[in-house]
Amino acid sequence: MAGRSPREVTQLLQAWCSGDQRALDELVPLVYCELHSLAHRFMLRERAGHTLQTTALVNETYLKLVDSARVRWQDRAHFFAMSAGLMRRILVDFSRARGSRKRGGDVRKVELDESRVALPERGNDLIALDSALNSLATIDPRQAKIVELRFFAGLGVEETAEVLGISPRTVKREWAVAKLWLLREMKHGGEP
Amino acid sequence: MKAERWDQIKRICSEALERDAAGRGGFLEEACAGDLPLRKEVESLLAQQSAADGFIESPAMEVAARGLAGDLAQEPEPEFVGRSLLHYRIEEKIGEGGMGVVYRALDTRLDREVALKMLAPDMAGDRKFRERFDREAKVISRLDHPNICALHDVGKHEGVHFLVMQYLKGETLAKRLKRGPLPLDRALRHAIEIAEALDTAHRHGIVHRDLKPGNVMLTKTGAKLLDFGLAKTFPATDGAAASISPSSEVPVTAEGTVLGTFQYMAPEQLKGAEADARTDIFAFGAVLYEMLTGNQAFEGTSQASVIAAIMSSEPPPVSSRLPMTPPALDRLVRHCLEKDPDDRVQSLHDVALELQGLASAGPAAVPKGSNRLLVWGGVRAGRSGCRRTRSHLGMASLLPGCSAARRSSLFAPSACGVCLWRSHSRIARRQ
Repeated sequence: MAGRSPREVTQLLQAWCSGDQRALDELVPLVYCELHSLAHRFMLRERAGHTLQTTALVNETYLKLVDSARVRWQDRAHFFAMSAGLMRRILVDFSRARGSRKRGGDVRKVELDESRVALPERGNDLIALDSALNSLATIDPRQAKIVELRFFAGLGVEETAEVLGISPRTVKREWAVAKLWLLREMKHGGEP
Repeated sequence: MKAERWDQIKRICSEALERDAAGRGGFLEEACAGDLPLRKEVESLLAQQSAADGFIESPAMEVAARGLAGDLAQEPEPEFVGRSLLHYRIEEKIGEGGMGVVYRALDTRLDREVALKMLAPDMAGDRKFRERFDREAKVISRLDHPNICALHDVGKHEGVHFLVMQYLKGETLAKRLKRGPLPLDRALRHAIEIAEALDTAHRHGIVHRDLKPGNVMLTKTGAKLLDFGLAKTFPATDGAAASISPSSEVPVTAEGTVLGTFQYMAPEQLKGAEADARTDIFAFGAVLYEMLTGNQAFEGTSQASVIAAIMSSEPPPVSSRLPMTPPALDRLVRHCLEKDPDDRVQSLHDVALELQGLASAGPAAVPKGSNRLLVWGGVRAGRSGCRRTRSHLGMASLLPGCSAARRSSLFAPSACGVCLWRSHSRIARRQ
């Protein structure tokens, strides 16, 4: 993160959450910077043949961006909900920009799960997921929120449950069905 | 869709997911109670189950970063040859690693050849890394050791961060080892050089963290260590990040190959603990082993098997591959490779002394017949005897702050004969 400590990012997020729009102008480049940093590390590792899990690296990045430990208890739900929405916006915008930059060439989709190549390419990117998630939100806003918190803000089951004030078991059940619904939506455009 | 209808679909779907395939049909039959559209809806969702396992389980940040990494890998790297950075004229690409690309360049002010190492943009853009890098660069530039590749300068030009280092002619130890083991005398000579260089660094508080044959250059004037303290940029034990996934991450340098990198890593490093001087001592043991035998101390056909070997198995003794090995050398290697850093040799100064003793003894240190028996007999006779002998000769004072237990584990092997011999040679030198 060029020149930023995690605290500053969290502060900016909090400022944005409480309505400071200028904070957003500073936040977006920071998230992009983190994203590039992470991508670069992935690339270097791949080049060097490292195929080990990168969970800690990703967690570290999320902690830099959305550091829950530094958020006051009563702010948490709001903070995470806003952060998740923001992360979603930034990452989906990023995917769009990336797609248009590469238009005409070999457009490599942002794969949602590399280990599964069975999914058709067209249903396998952040943009399609974003659109499917919008549709889900019209049917079941809470379920869409769970996906946003877990997938875009990188929260675990327990944290998601805490933010939404529901039980972890409910989060798990909703998450499982939401995945099925989104997959179907992405594959068939909603036709069963 | 009405909310009640969706709740009904969700509930049946959730309950169906908790059943195995065999029980599902009957359950759906009953739960949908003849409502065919309901059943069709639920079944079309359940049909996605096989694809759902890994779907969106990695956070979006990772997904986006992986996609971007794919783009980055396809982009051509910037061409520097022919360009100048400050007063350095870049002439030829000579290497590439995870940290960046290395070029041979001409320092046009001093009219001398230098090696320019460009930092990968990601690393240069990371403040935490850059601060650490600058700090360590300062210390390394002060090390001034004949067996450490000298760092002349750190520069930044048009957004490119680079290191200016001594240009070394020679081949890396890794390349040399591809042709087989080194002769004993040469292996010992280079081992002493490496041990002394590392010891100097340790005294300045610098841990190499990535000692491996690829980071040792063999030149006319001896072995030179490269890439001091700079290679590791992803500490796994970074507070909360590590506590979330304690065992999933291995701190890896992006340089070199997988096996080349892992094979010299100490167990505590693989566990994600902070590296200290003893981590380098383990790597040193593995490098010494390979110089002597031509075989890697920890081999495997996969990452997992190499890691397993490092964590739990001992390499065959050097003497099993090289029968004329002095037992003291065998023991020394084994003590460098102890799994627990506390059981390991604690200082490369001690290692260098041992090696010097062995080197100057030449063939005399190599046991022949009864000598070998005598030495091993000495070990069987018990450690206390050894220690007493050593204390008597004042050697214990070399290990300030070491517990008796540690001291004994350090020199227990001791091949008492060699201990005695070394002490004699020290006395002889003093006289």
